[in-house]
Amino acid sequence: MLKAFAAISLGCALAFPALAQPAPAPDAPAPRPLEVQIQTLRFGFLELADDPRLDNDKAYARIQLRALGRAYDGVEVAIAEISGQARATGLNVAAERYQGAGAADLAQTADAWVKDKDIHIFLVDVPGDVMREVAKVLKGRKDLLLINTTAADDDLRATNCQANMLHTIPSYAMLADAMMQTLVSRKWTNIFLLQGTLPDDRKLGAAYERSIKKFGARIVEKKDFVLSNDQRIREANNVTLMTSIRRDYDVVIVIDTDGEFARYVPFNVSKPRPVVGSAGLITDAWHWAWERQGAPQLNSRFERLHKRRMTGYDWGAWVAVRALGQGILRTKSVDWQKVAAHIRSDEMKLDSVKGAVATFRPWDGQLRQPLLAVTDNAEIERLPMRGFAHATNDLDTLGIDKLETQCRM
Amino acid sequence: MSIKFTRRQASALLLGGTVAAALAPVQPARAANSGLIFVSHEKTHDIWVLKPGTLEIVKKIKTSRRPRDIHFNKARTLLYAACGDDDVIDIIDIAKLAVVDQIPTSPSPEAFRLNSTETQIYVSNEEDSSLSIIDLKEKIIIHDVPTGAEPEGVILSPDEKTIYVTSEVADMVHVVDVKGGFVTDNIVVGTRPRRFWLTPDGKELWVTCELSGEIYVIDRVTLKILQVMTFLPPGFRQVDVTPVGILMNQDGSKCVIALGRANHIAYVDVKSRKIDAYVLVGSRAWNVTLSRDEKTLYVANGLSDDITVVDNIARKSIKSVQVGRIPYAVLIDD
Repeated sequence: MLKAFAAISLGCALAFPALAQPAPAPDAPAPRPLEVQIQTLRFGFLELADDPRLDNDKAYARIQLRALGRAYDGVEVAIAEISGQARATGLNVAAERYQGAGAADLAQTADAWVKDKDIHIFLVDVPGDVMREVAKVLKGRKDLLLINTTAADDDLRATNCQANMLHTIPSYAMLADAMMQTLVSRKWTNIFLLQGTLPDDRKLGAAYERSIKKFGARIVEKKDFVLSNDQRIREANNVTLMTSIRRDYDVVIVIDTDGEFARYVPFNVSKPRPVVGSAGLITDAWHWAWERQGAPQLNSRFERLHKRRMTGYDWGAWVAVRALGQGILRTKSVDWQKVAAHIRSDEMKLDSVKGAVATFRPWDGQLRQPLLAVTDNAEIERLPMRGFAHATNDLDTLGIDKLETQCRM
Repeated sequence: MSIKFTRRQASALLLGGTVAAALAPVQPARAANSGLIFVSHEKTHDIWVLKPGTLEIVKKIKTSRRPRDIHFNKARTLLYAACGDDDVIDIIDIAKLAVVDQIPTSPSPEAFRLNSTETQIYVSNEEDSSLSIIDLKEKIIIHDVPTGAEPEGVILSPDEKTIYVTSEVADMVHVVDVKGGFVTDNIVVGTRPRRFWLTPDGKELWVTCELSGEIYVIDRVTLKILQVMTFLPPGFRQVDVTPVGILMNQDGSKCVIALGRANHIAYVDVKSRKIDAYVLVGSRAWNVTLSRDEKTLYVANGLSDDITVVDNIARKSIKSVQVGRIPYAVLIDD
């Protein structure tokens, strides 16, 4: 099927395969198959040739927060879908992919493609620190739009936000809020916070502390863990020992963006308490076990094409391309500026396949969207939960709201 | 492209043929106006038959996997059920209340319509991005018309020359020429278009758009959008309004729309296109069916696994009864 779509996107005039037997009526003008000229919006897809998040040593353990393949796989699925409408509208999208060595290389490529290839929209699939550098180099550029598809760092939406950058992947703040809504709705409000010391752990930890306060929960105990088997520091690496404290708690939140420590926390807690955060129950943009709102169809399209299950990163890239698809469909144009204006507006009715229309928040460029709280094999909650109401859009109960944003574009 | 078989279809064809041959001497008994209510279920792979009035279970008919859209033949002797996970349309004998035959389809049949002479069936194939035109007698796919991804609602024009089919992912309605088996036009509508109803005069096509929460009214001659309607039952947010099922009464004066997660149905005056009333039903109101005397309305609720009976005159919910898992469609033999 994809091959057929690819062929179509290359061709100019096209007709349907079933064209073989036209049936001209003698008197009335016979209906004719629709023929359309295809115009294409080309966008860039920038990624790292050597992305640490795809490290085999990490991926083998199938830790939930780990990418299982390139997010570009999501782009391919979205392009195949849009080609379905391209046959009708004459408007298509196509990706130009670049695997760079680092931030400078990616930024240079974007700059060159704006000039040489007339490509102005760039989906970026890199870790937060690289995204920050790429964005910095291209700050203030009005001739391009960056769409961050896989970096969750809150500062990219706050102090380091910029007018030419949107984000489809949920921020750490959104992921933490989604978890806290799940916990608070169950009255699991006394929290043991167990966190790692990696820079990303600190960022996610800060998001959780903010969220715990926001939803009126309490931190009973907070400890840093060390990933080690060293008996001499067992008060920092032995989960059972660390969690045997006199005060009771309802739940352990483990924050471990690496994932290697977190996966041994469930069933090692000294009290019979659930583990959430980076193991047990996690919050994410997507999970294969989500099966409503058209998700089974999207999952099976993805699995058919890539022989693996779709993850949050794949969704971030997929939905970015779908937004461009809405842009060309609704503006009836492949003009990147018109498309960019549409996708940034409240007018965009982007199907998140999570049960609500997704739109970009004007104050920080973040895509507002429902999130999922999932175990290994089941979707437990779709967030926001009913009861967490917002004055204008309940999706804004997840993440940084307009009044609290630190983003000054 | 015009005729194709998979091995699975060929064997199903063979099986269907055998069953038909075995049945040949026995004509299905005429059982129209039995008043029986049929409910298809996506997860329990069966169609429940309920007694009119009491809504007691008469029988649970085991079907192929994931029966969704269901339609009677004109004489109401047979019930057709598109079974999405087995790539077949099951044929149920109403007198026997059992599956007696099958029609093989392309992958994942969802919604379908029959033509008036019952020689052809038009099926949307959700996972295959196509609309199949199937010869009922020969059980052969005459055309597989490519559509946008996740085609869903199917409706036939009164002159039976045109099929309209939605694509949930491409946000459009494809206009398909029945004879030629090709797309002649496309109408861009709201996000995730689902189902149709044609006004009885054949002039307007009404389309539910689930995600954008809208009804698009399309002029069938010009294919222009005449109006876009939105809904907001009391106490709900715009994002909850996810219209799917739609029907009009026989004179085409009133339209009923199931509003999905907003847990209501809406009554709309067709001429003025104004909302008359909202009625609270079950969770994720999905499909609606009206009795022939237009006194009773049945709503399948996808998330509460029940159907709600609505007094269509008083516009009030009377009761909800438990059915199987994820009810999809309700049909009444009256």
